[in-house]
Amino acid sequence: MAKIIRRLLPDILGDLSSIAPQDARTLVSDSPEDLFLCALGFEPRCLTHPRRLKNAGYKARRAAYFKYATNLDNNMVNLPGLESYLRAITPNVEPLDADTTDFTSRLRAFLDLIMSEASEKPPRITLDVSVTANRLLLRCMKVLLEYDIRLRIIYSEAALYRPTKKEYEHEPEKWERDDLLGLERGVSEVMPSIDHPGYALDPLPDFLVLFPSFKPERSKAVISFVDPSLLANSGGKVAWLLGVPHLKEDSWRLDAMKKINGISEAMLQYEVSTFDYKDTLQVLERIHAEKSESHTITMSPLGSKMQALGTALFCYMHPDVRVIFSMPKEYNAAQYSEGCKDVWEIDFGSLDDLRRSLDDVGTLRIEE
Amino acid sequence: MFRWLSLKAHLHKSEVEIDSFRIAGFYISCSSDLQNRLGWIRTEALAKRFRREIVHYFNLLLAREVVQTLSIIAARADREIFWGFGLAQEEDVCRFILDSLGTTSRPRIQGVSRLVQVAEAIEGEMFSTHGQMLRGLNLTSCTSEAFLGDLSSLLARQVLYFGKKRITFLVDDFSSHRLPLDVQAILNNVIWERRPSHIFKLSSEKYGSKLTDTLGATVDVSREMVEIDCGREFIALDDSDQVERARAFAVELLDNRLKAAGYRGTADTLIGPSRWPHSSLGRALAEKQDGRALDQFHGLDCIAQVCSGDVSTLLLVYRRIFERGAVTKESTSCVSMAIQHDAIVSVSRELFEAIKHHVPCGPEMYSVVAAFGTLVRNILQHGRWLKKGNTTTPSQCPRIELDQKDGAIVEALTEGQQQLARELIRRAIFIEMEPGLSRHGNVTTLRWHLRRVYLPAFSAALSKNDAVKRPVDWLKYLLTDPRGACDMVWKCWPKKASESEGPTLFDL
Repeated sequence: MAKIIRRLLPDILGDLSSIAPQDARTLVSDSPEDLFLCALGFEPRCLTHPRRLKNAGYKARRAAYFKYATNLDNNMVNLPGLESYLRAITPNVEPLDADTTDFTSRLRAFLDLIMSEASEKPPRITLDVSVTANRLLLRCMKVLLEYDIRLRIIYSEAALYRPTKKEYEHEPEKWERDDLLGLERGVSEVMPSIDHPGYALDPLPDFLVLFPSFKPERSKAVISFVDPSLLANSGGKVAWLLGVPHLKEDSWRLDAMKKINGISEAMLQYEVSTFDYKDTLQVLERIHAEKSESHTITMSPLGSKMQALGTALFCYMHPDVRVIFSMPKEYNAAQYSEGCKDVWEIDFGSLDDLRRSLDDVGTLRIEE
Repeated sequence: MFRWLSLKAHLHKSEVEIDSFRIAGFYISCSSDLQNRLGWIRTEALAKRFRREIVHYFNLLLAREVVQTLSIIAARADREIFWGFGLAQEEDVCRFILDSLGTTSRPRIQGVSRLVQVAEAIEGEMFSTHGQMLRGLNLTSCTSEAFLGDLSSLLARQVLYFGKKRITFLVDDFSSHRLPLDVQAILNNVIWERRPSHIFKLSSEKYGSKLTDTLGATVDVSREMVEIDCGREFIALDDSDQVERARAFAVELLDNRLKAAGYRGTADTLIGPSRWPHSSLGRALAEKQDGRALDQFHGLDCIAQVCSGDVSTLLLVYRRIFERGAVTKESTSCVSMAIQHDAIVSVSRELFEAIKHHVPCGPEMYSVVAAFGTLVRNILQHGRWLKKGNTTTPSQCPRIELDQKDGAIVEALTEGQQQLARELIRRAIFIEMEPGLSRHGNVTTLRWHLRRVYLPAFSAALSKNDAVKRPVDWLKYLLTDPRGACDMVWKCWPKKASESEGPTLFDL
């Protein structure tokens, strides 16, 4: 007998690519890829993939690197290396300012050029997210998801993330205090994402979804921006999405994160893998199903790269959700992550197919 | 408050109740949709480039609210008799809006109200406008700066109710941190249009709104604009009549909510009056003996004084008292004074701590309040008492007074100090009172009053009978080194006991 079935997120999750170890040789083909995108950061691992790809003989027609407005001097240290690796991949290398208002417009113009130049359709693009800030990753994905391209995301995982267990246990209170440097310092600006404004036409109460970081001030600045009274009394209107590290030896970071951000057991919280973007998608989908009818949902993704990727796909599915970014005054380049442990990739393939899968969620079907 | 003034919030009520309103309010908030959609337009050049689209989007947002309200009115049985809003009027309004959008030929759907379809057409146009702006494109056709005036004129002419009640567009949080000043200047061309059929009411942080339009024209403050400073109105509670009104407001607010939620208790039975020896909180705090239970902050008189015009603070205090006092629907007994004290102080501390997280200048503002609050508390506790007739009373001075001998004080501040000073006022951490006349000559005095909700965190009293009176340079010192500046005041403040070599302010 025929039944009406509503497609849910778990029904399509199997269609989405998973994260897998990356082998640079698989990126090398007879014809060059159409575009390689990466970011110039102060962490040495911004060079990891460009170097590996160059050594493996990978070629692209064009490459572009994103430039940040913060830590300019620290980032410049890696510029010569990055440019030399990229120039070995392609002679057409150009920078793109990542922190300007019109970034997405310029990225669209650049992708229009790639689309017009591509000899094979859909064009193939590789995006290295190793040192992309979450706000940049969200803005990039917003634009990339508008195009019919084949997308592969690659990522180099740091060998050492700050704080280390030893550093944290030596001076736990240092990480709870706002006035010490830690991974980053201060908050320069809090602003709604230009590209993810959400739909807030009706005056519903706010509901805030936060991925905290190891510095509480950025998350708290977001709460203060949305509604300062939520700092004193969240009243079940703030959900904390706490990152569960994928390596067992890092599991202490979950408790440390709670302590640093003052997240008590009584507060609304969810545990989300730092490494599996599909887990982020599932948790966000659940929260959205519960709250979207009665609240205006705002998110601030300060967690891991993969959590930000999951957030980007979720925002594609639910444009009614607003994203707020909280930018630090500066990152502490001297105390950030070190080295590179493993390299990973998510080969999304055709974004047309990815969009179709995501669009499928919530649709009704008649099945026999 | 603005949301409550909107007509939509009251459309479940009877004709008699609705007829008692003086205005017909339509509400939008800048902290939600407008901020999200227009907040990125941060330069004059961008604002000028999208001037027509900004006006168009604003028009559409308010038109949507009007149509949604009309849609609810249309579902009432008395739509024609009481409101004068029949099908003919509905058709006129819909046609006007669709004509303005250039979508008159939009196909109609059977079974869906005409007004709902118009609301959807407006939303479609809003999203399309925003999308075009993000792509850096201008629209070929936009509604004009006169659109809302024409809409309100039409409503006042065609719909009986709007002919009797002044249409009032309520724009909440029209502040610079929600809407950039350059966007505000463009919207001012719409807001300041003078029409007999409507007015605008704007709420804004202090100094948060721009008072010129794109041509540099200003409003006539006495004739075209009335400014109401809620913080200042509440702080001016020095006369007993005002204190009584604030108490009545606090009681009514709670009683209304308790009644609506079906509670048996009332403000008087659950919280009760404040009971202090000599009827003075300041004296109760100053005479507090070590080891005695802390219960000075309690009662409705105290709670009413904690509020500086911010209703959410009152509600937060009530909520915390009820949580800690385990008040239920059936409760009728009074929450103990100690629990009330504990709840009020905890709210005060939390709001004080929250200052740190404001952007910009959060940590700097926190330092100023921490130092000044400590000074106020120490003056209360250790300062010499003031003569009041035949008796004496402890000094309570949560206010700073500075003589403006050489013009406006802000001109003497550096750029960084000006920003900090502006944020302290904008965030209502200090309430700027009307300038007073100095005792030191015919010069005006700048007066800043610490927002009262922060005072319990320092065990400081809520009233004011004295002030920290210093020259302008002291403000610069306070903004640069708050502890040093407050310690300087403390050192020369007359004390109860002689302390020629006493501890510094922060050692006490």
